[in-house]
Amino acid sequence: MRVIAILMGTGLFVLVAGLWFVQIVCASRFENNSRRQSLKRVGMPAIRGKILDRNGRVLADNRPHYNAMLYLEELQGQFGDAYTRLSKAYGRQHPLAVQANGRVRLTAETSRELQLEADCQVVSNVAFQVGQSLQEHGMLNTNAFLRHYTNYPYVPFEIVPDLAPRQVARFAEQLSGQPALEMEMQPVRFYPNGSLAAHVLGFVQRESFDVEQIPDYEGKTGLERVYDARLHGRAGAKLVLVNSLNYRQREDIETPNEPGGDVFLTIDLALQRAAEQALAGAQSNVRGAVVVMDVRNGDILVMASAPAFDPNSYVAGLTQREVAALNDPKYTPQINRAIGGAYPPGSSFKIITAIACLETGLDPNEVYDSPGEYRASPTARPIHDTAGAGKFDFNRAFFRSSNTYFIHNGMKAGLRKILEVAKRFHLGEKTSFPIGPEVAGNVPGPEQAGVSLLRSSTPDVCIGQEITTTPLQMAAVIGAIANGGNIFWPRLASHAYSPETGEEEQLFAPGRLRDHVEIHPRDLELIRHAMLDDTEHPADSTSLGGTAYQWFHHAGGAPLLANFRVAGKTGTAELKSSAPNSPRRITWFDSYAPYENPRYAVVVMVEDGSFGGPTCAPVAEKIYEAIIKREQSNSPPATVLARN
Amino acid sequence: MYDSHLNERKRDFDWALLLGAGGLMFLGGAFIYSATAGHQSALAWYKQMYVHQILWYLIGLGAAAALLAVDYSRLARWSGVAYGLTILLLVAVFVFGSRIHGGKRWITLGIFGLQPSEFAKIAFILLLANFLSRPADELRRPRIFWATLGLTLLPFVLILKEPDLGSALVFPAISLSMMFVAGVPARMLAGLVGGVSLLVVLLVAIILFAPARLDIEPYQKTRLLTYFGRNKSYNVEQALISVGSGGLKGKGWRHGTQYALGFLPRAGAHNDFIFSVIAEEEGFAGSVVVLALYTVLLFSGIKIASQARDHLGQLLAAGVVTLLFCHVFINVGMNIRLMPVTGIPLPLLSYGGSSVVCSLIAIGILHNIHIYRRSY
Repeated sequence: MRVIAILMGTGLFVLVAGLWFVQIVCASRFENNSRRQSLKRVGMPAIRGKILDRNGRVLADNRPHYNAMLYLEELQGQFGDAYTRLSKAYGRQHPLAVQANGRVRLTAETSRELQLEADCQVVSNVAFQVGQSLQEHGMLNTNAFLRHYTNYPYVPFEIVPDLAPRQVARFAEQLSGQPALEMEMQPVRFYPNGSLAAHVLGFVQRESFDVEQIPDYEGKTGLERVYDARLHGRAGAKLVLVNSLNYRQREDIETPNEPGGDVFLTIDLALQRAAEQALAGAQSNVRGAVVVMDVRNGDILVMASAPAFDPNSYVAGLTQREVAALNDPKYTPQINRAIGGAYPPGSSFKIITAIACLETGLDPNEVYDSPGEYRASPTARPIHDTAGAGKFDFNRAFFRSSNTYFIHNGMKAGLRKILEVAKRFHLGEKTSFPIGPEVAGNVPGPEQAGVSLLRSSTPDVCIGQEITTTPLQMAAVIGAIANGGNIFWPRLASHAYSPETGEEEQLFAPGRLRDHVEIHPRDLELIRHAMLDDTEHPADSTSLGGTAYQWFHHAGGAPLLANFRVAGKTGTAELKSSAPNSPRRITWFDSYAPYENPRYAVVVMVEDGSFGGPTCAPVAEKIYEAIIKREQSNSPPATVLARN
Repeated sequence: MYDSHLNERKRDFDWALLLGAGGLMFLGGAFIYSATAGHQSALAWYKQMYVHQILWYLIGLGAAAALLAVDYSRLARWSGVAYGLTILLLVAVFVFGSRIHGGKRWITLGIFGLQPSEFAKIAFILLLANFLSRPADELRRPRIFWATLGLTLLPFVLILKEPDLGSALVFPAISLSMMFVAGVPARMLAGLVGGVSLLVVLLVAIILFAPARLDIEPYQKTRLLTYFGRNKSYNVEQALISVGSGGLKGKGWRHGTQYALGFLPRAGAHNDFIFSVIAEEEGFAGSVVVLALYTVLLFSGIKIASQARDHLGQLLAAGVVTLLFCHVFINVGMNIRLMPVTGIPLPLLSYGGSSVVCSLIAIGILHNIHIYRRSY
């Protein structure tokens, strides 16, 4: 019995010693292991909200996107087999490493290398098999896989992204039986109208893969960026239980994701499309911008900039050629020319000069005998005048766009006065437009007259040179002329729907007044009439017609737009820039309509056009055609929103 | 009450034995609750495992109490019948048995499963004690030696075929210990030990260097390879992490993460791996308490053996003590990778009706010997 007692005592002592070794001596190692195999959070992106036009037509949508995913933890068995095979092969190549008993002796490093190589081999074989089944001939990107595998082995690896519909069917048919392979549906941003309103919408791109997250999309520019938080929704989180080998053990949904909210714009999809088409037709490889604004409340109905880009290509990932095209220094498709480009307004600035002259005592009936060009001094470089020599009263000087008349009278009003009027209309100031980048342009304040802007520049400033504005700023000026002096904060996004409550939430109040410009009603009337004559005054025995007349009338004199009178001003500015990619000439047609009851301001700007009339007026005319069509169709023309 | 001096029944308890058993049952209930409550809390109380375990404790205690009414020498007379019955049950396992975790070890009887190998161990101890309690000169005869070997090998082979290597190995260990206590000549035992050792060494050599040629079940091969560090076994690795991460003081009752997070197998944590749950939650201190309780249990068994009235009692006690010790050593050893993984329960702690009832019967037998001990 004593022997048994001694044996048992020894056995129990061995157990205590073993426990002491494991629980006290090695405790920290096992504690680390225990902590390492714990919970990791993995994000689950939410479905992004849509962007819709003012009538609820979709501008930015989501489409299902199927990825073939590889669940690495399911391959552990195969990894092991491949490792055994490789280590045997290693033994054959390195006979010295083979021990007498047939075992292959490996250093820890070699063993690790072989392990990784084995894992890569297995995944590569699976990828090949998947490729065969899906008839996809891309090879496994080993670097991407290794990066994924070393960092996030518990997150499934995307083995083939974005399956075509036929591949989806093939996957379901041939590969669905494999536990390691699964098809995963992800919503992907989709712009159904391609490049339409691309600058306004902006684009989304995959967030960089630095977090332990399933790739999510983030708005990078435009409204996608401004309203990213709202559109993005709330990403949910999965808790993935990770074991000591770092593979996925189990997962639970911690917080479900919440879809993003929809954002409604003031943009009218049909008008936007018509405007973009009209602008594209202005000339080949056109560079320019169109802004259509509701003059009653500042709603932006159209904001187009050419050339544009297809935001879908950003989502898919840009090719090198696309990147090169996007960075072209001359065409700069990424710049929104309606707000991001500063251009000399040219003769369209004569609206400002006219107000300055009239307010400093110009008699509109006084006839000025123009010599047909302006010289500051007999030896100075002459400023040419397309209106030519002749007798001009205010109205005729305006619709014929006589440079000499406006320089002559503008000099009398003075640079300070002209700049003061320009500032009243907030030219050269940003409009706090939600999307960017917006530039202010360069219109110095009146205090800068003779300081930063030399008085010798006055003749140029009178006809809209040496200063720069944006098409959106010009739209605000035209709007104020049309509505009697109200300048609104331009509105682009109207409201949103909260996905949680389903309630409508206003993003920007309609008709937020920025300023009211005091203009004498007589002056306003004179300018409006002169602008109308720009499109309506035909040539007669004494004079040529309005600079835009022929673009709004048939050859026989019948108006192109029935019962829809347009008031406008052409502009053509010369640029003396020596930069190789800078445009030489900026052409404009700034207008509003209908004359009697103004609702729309249409500003068209084209770089390197011929003249404001022939290049830009036809674009505006086509836009008005679309506007008429829109008003005739049952959709009421924004009256609902015109509460103010 | 009894006039025979030799058969006098002592009306006392072996408090140490009862303390050991009681403490272990208390821990068993508490840690089965800890291990299973997490995912069973939604079940009605009467469906939860710790309640079942307490029920088994009560049934086992009832059986043990019933045994106390009969002198162990009378029990021993029925040992042949018991042995025959359990052998029949072991054969029946092959016919009616349910396959659980890769082995046919259970006979399903309506609501619970019966594990005949557990009962076979008790019957085997009874039979062998009865068989070996004979004069010393008879024990020297080779015929007795070979007969003992035969009685051992029959259940050993049957249980090995289930397959349940762990339980099967308990039989030769008990046999060896009882033969030694009975007084079988050391020469014969040395020969036996030598022969078996040689076989084991050969087996291990084959496992290590030519596992492909070995004709054992794949799961056994894997487990053995795991034991020799040639295979990363998930369960052993996790059990080791559980035990190791407990440290000195442990993570606290019901605060173990290994089981709660599902690393320890759901099917095994409350039975074969219950020790790792205790070790994780109560640390080294808890492990030592568990081992101390077993030590108390085992050494009171040894005391009972040395105080036994007769040879039969001594042999019975030695057999029971060896049985309990084998279970404790193999199970705890497996949790710290001292022993290969063999599905062997920890007496009184592991969940399971057959194991609990048989352990309590074994302790009942010990107490029986204690009550009917010699009084001089």
